[in-house]
Amino acid sequence: MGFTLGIESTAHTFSFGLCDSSGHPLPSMSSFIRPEQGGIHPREAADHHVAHSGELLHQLLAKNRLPPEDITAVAFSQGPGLGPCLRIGAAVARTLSREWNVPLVGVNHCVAHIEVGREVCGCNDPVLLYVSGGNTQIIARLDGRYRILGETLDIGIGNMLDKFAREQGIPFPGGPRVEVLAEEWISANPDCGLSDYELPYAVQGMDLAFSGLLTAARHMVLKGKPLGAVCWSVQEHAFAACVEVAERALAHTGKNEVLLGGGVACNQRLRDMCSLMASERSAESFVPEKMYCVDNGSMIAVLGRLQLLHGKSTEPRNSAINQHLRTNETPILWS
Amino acid sequence: MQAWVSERIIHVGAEAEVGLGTYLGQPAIAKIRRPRGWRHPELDARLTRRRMMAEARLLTKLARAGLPVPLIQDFDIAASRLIMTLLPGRPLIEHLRDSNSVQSAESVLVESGELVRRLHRQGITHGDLSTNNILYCHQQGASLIDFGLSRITEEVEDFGIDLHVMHEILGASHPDHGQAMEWIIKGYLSVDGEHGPPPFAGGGPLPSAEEVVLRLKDIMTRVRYHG
Repeated sequence: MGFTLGIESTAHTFSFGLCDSSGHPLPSMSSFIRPEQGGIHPREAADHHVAHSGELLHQLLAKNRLPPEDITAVAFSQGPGLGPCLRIGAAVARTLSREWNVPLVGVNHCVAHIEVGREVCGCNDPVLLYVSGGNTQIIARLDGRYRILGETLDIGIGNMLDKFAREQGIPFPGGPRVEVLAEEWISANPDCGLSDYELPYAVQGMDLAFSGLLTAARHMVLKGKPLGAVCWSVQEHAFAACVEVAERALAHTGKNEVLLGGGVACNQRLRDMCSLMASERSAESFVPEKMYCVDNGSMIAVLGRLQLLHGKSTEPRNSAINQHLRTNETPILWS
Repeated sequence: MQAWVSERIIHVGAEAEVGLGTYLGQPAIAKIRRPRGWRHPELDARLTRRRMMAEARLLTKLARAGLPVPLIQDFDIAASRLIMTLLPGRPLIEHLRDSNSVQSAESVLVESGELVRRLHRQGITHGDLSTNNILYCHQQGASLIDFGLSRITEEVEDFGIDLHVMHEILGASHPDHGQAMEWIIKGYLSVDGEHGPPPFAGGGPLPSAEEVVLRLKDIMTRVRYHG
């Protein structure tokens, strides 16, 4: 077995990545669309993916000095995600698989976040806190599937951060800027009290909700509270809720590893909270490097290789995308 | 003499440590909410205080209404410690995983569904209906513990969410019991037939069991990528 090529195109990011024959990922080559205003427009994002796919593939192969003959499988995100975007990745994958005459493997995007985390962090049986723009899920493996123990009942946490930021004139993606503003505020005002910036804390068992917090934060800014303080309070409340449900999942399942994944897992405050939580209950916390937290092609390659090793390639006639693919629909055949 | 004598920690939960011991010589449970270092101290204090107050207040209310819940023995907010009577039985999670269980999974789940409806008929949600928080004993039936996220409400949405938490946990932790939620709902729906329409709560009329189950189905379509 040579290298597996992975293609990611579920939302704003189009990315090619590789993993080697032992399953280790190599850095991806990615491009993502930054809308001038508003959120992601699925068709415009798909157009972006079409425009960039060719050059990205050439760049990836050139950077790794890899002739196409060394690629022995092509994996792609089959779902979940935005339909028009997924279709581009799937079409590119079918074409390459046919052109190079190598197997095609359709994979579950959410499961790829878990498997790349397990691969690069070396954890075994974690509870995954999967926090991205569209998704906020608490996942754990049981009986050959990754099961969803809890999830957001309205918007994803990244979506909440981006929406809040957008209304303050911060362009997409707003999450990283919210993080900087929060950090600057608390460094300049280390004695700032959180009770002056109280926001809703929506934990329902292991489920979460963020739309109430978004509305309350918006009102807080309208009432004239400093933006940095509100950013800080939003992070403190929203991340604490996520980490609390992760801790509930650890207690419920009896597992002792927690793994962070998804774009919001790049946030340092969330990383710190998660590792503190784990150490307080003698568990271990794992966070992949940022390039493997955000959407990337390498994670698709990692999962594609695993599936192929267990005989799960995808016939072209079964390679239609599935926008609604749920985490627990994918059988996990490996240990 | 010390009123509370601790024996051992039996569970390290996400919110609290649960210790087994005796209170005035009788078997009892102590729930101690330790500060969460990862959470901002003010937020942590606010949540701990609110949850502890809610738990003590609602447990008292439910015990008066005759529901099988622990009785409060001692309440110490400074120490974040709640002492309660020890209930018999094992958590549902163990019953469902024990294939040698005397009682069938169906009868245990139907009875649990009935108990959840009896709770909701008090105008109270549990807030964390995981299979760890329902105890089952062959002699005395089902009982409920851990009311830290419990609240008073008359909104159909709140009761629907309560059942949704249960639906997700049953699907995730007990995939071998595919009908588990149907059995819970069967029990949930049976109670109104027996006891008549739900009583009027402080804030308004309580939703019927049918209305709550209908809302549950609506909530199930809100999560990502439902079928």
